[in-house]
Amino acid sequence: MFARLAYFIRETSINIRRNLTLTVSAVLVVAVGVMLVGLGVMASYAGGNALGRWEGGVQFEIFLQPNISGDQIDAIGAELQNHPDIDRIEFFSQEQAYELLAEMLPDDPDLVAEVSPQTLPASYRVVPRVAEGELIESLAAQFRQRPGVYSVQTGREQVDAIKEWFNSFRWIVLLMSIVLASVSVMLIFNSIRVAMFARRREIEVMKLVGATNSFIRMPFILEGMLHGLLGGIVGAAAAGVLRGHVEDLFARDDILAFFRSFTVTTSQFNTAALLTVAAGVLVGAVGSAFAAGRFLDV
Amino acid sequence: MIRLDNVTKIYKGDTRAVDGVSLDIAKGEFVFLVGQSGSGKSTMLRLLTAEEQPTTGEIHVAGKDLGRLSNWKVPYLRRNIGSVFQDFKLLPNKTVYENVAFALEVIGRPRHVMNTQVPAILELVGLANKHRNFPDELSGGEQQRVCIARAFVNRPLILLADEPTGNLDPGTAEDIMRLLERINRTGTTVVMATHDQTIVDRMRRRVVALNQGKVVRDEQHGAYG
Repeated sequence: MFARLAYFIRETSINIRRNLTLTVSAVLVVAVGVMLVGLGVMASYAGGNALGRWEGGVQFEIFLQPNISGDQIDAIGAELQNHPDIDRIEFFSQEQAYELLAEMLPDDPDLVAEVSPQTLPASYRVVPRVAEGELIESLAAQFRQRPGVYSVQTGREQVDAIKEWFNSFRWIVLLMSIVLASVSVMLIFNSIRVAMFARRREIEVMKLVGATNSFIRMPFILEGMLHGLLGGIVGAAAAGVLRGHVEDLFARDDILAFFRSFTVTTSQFNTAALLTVAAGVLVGAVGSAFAAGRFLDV
Repeated sequence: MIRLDNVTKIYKGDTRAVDGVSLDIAKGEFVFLVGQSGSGKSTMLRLLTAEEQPTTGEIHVAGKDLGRLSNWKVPYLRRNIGSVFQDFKLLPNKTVYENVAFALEVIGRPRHVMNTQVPAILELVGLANKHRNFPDELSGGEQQRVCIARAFVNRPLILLADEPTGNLDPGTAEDIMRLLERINRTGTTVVMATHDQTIVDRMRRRVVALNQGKVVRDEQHGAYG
């Protein structure tokens, strides 16, 4: 058993040394390919985290009819205040809405001047007791039909739009990873084929003296898996470096707050890195198993 | 030990390399396969090691029906057959010792077996003092001895030799024949394809003559022609 293991290790390392340039290129292509897999997984996690944060968004807004009376405003306010699922509310008057508009459009004073506070809706900002998407939707539905309410806005539509965009982004990343993984498989296939061609005399003798096919294949499959493992480690490391850069970038003040939600936890990063390395090993195993199988007929 | 029943091998393009051959070779026999180039000698040997499949007919080697032998069992069949070649097929980057040990290593024999068997077989073929040399540092006869050592180190039941003296001068060829005879005396069945008339005539062993894939002569103590 030990002799056999020593044989596999020796032969594999000879193969790698003989084929150094091909080994390096195979490792690098695998690295780039599986790095994309890792980044895709991380982006998935980050998007999920961000969406989770927005979906459970802490508040929603009930806009009131502009011509509503003060009593009606108070009645709605009291109803919200006494609702068991609502934690607290904040009232925005028509004047405050106007100020907000002026704040949001500092470059268009003319446009702001066209609008009078009386045409803008007053609103309640409602913070539910539990930040949960389903609950917010059901609360919104309860108040949407109430007289005096102009509209109720939750983050749902925006979140849905982002979700859709994000899903297509995920598909693109997945597709690109599949393409690059296939390229990696082919490259490993070729590098193993070259390694086997370089050793065809040994292989001929091995067959002649009755070595089993699996014994002959093993060093080549190990070589392919090692290419994949190295590529996976390099790819995971590169993905880690990229993650650090992106998170630094998103944390900067001049970047939209929107992006700040896109973060991954350490355990999610570890999972992504592990998947990256596993993808590398898998790519190596598949490529070399194909090569070793194809060029080893009895 | 070896039995062929009406074996025919047709290569693509309708070449009948072996044509309706029936042959029985008993354990411990020494058999010359003679005939011109292209008479089917090499194909016969390749059929015996299952490198080629017969188009029709049955082949039994070492108690195995080759037609019913699944692919994964072929290596185990070959462990019972040693093969010797005209061009030796030695690995140039391995020493004499390593070339012989390789045959044991790749069938998973433990190291202590190698440590005893390899020196013993090198002693038998007379190369004990050259075990550290590389093949290109040896004469043709010595290289053929290494090839025989490699074929015999696992003590196979059968030794197949395809023109083993084809590249050697007459004196060296005699030495190789003495070595093969010695191996034959241990009970190993030897089948040797050759067109070396001098050797066949001198040895007076069984001669199977092939012509265009057919057995045209089978004599117990025959001569070449």
